[in-house]
Amino acid sequence: MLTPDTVTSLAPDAASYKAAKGLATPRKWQELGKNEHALWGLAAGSGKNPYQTRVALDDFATKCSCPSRKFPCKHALALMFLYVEQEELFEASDPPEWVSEWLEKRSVRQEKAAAKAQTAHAPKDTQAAAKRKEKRSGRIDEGVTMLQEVLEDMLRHGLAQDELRNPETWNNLERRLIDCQAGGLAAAVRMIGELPFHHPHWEEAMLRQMGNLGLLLHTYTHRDALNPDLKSEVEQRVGWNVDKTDILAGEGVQDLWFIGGQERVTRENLLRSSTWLFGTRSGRHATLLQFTQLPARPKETWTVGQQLETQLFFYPGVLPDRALTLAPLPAASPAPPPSDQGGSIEDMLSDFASILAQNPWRKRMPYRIVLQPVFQGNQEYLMDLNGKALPWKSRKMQVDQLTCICGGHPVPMCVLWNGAELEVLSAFAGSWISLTRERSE
Amino acid sequence: MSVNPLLTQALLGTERHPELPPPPAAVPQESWQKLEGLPPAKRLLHAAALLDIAQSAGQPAREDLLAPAAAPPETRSYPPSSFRAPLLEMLREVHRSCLPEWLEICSDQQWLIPPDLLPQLLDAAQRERSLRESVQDCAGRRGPWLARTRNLWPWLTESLEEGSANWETGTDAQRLRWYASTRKSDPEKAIAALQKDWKKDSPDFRQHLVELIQLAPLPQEEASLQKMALRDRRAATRLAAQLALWKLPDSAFCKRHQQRICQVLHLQNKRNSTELCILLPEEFPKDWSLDGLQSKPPSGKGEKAFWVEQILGLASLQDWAAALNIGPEEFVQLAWDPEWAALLLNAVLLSLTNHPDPDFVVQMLPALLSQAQQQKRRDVVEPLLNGVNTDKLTDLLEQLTLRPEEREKLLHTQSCRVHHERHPKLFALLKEVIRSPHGVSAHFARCLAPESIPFLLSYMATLPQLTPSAERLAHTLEFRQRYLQHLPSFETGTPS
Repeated sequence: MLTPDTVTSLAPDAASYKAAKGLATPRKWQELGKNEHALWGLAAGSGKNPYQTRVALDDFATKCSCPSRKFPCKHALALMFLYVEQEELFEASDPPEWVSEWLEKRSVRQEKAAAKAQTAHAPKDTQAAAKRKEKRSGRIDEGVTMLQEVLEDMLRHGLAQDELRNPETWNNLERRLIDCQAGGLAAAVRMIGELPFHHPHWEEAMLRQMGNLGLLLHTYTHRDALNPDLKSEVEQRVGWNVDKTDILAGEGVQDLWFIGGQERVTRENLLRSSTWLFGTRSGRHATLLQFTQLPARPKETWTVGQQLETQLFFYPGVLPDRALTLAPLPAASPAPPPSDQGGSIEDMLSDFASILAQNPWRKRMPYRIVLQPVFQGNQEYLMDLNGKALPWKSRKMQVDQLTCICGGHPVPMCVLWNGAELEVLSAFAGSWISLTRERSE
Repeated sequence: MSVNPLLTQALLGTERHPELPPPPAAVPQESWQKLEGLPPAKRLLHAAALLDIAQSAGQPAREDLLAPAAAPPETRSYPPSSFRAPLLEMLREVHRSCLPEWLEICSDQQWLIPPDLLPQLLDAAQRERSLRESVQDCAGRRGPWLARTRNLWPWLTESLEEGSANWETGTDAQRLRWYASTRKSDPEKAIAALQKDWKKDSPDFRQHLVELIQLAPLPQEEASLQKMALRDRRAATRLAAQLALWKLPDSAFCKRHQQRICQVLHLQNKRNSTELCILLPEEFPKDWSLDGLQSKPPSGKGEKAFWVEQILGLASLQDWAAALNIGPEEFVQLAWDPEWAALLLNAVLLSLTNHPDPDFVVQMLPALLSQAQQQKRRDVVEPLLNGVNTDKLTDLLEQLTLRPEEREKLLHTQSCRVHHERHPKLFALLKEVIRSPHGVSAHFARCLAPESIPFLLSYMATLPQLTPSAERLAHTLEFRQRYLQHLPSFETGTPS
């Protein structure tokens, strides 16, 4: 379902958003139309001929005859804004040829992709696959051994050595791990290498993260003795991929899922979009991840505060939380106001401790809880109904916004707890309000 | 700060510090003991893993913090979502020029700014002073509460915290608040403080203090105003003191000044009508100086005319009428003696500057403009229009005989609401401005009455091409139309 928030989130940048808002006026359009698959219209541009703009309603794919390199272009965004603001302008009709041709081509492409995916998952040459896996396993083992030696060597010589504050040290190590096809380890090393540049107590944080990584390496070397869930968890964290088709072929968890938070983080040219869902019947939670190469934007059809009845398919692992959905994505509707008071900080801490006991590599967990901001000096905290408080990892605008929303009263919130600080995803004030901003890492 | 012994070992390295320290408090002893026997570096790595898990799993919650006092409940409601949505766009810098109107409507409808958007608007008003009054009006009780809790946006709470200011040690703003508060509860104390520090205070502060007093002077303040403020070196301070004393009918100054007005202002029967005329004073008595009047005119002005302008400019037009023993309606109808018209016009303008009176302006404007035209003065309209309300002002601009460029300038600088039927001249002017190849200011989007937006848009749709600025104007008008049409009071017409 198209909503103003959905369209806004599709805008590649602020300039496109502003330009699209300027074009979202009937004066700029001719032959506006729609059917169950698409929207279309002719946008007046600087050229002699108007631009042919079309938007697919299933996945918000767009096509426009304008020369813009941005995607979606301002005309496509404007067409969507116009649709959500003045739907009555769009006459339900048969699409013109330039739309039907595009829809047909899309459908052919989708069929081809489905057929290709089918072929990709046809019975494989098991011998060759096993050989490839063995070869990769050997490389990863080399990477694991190398990293174990490097970490121990660093601790032998001490963290005070200048070399550890040199980004090149960590970049080299990351590159060697990528060569060993251990992508998960490479990412962990990169994060450790960045600590001296943004963490106030980086030495302690580095020691802890090195210990956590060392534990992963140690567990990986003994993976054959582990139960399947833990083995899979450890393998994925080291860098083994799980085939999405296998996940989607497994058993899904049917529930009425509440969308509690969304976050977008860009790193170099990659945008990671995370959506946290809470199962209203099962009590489970799930994280959906999308990775998009900039300047393209992720297509998110849901917004915070909505709920939808669907099946989620979880990645294997210990207390898994990352999940997939089956396409096409179902439509979501606004969730009713929260009826319960949510858990307490004590419950949350106890739950997180028990999760870490089973999966010590879990970095953060989402919770629904009733909290309010409290302040002591320059430090911000969030306090529950029992008067217990934990540090709040906040940004200036969010502090003012949440403090104002709460008005000195605890309100239902969706938060992330990482063992040290709470991050607020959304809060309820008559309706759910997303409190995250797109940021760069 | 105590350093974790395990971190000390890690910083020094196991080569120099091979012994594993005792377990940190969060780590169980038995887990720590299992590390014995491992090579030192491996043992430290495992110990760090234990520390990491123990600290992540064992973070204690604080129980010693106090929640802030809750914000008082609101008595007004929040706007409907159709009215909230455009604010989101304006805060994203789209159609930002419509924000003052949005706030004005929010205030008129007695709505409050939604709490999740209030901090952004407070930040906007922090940067843009002109928004402060309307944001303050729509911030409800939560706004000042938030400002105090976050210790931000001091302008939001200044008027509410009079008691906290201190005369001896406060800033100028705090001292003014102290004076304003104390003169209500204990005027003698406030005046004693004023008199004690008058000479030590800065000229700026003295001016602001007398301007504060001028808003509603107290009889107890007469002596200070007469003996100190009227003798101040700064003309603005003396003028504020004169205006303050003029507001005290029992003051000696007021009585003396009434006599001066009666001496200079006269009615005479000439040319079959009663005309307003001036009797110039022969001399500048000494007591005029003590009352803050100046004897030496600026260059290019006669000294007696200057004395008369000062005398009459201090009083309101209502006071002029009272001095002549006639009612305001009769005063408005009076003809002016042509001999004294230039002097009278200057005195009237000065009086209206010191005592803005939109009702008098509305009644006298045609006569004043006729006088101004006769004297070839084109600088009088704008100052006269300050303070006249939007609807009256628009009606006046429609009626006045002005050149198109003058009308356009006034439309641009004043707050108007042009209606396509009630103001055909102004509406035609807008159409003309839109067609101009020199572009059109975005301000014009705001000076159109909501019900007339469709008419101007429909006219714009007939034009073969719009300049980029006219295009932007059309977008803003469409934006206004889209959200204004959801208001209960909005009535729209349909262009034929």
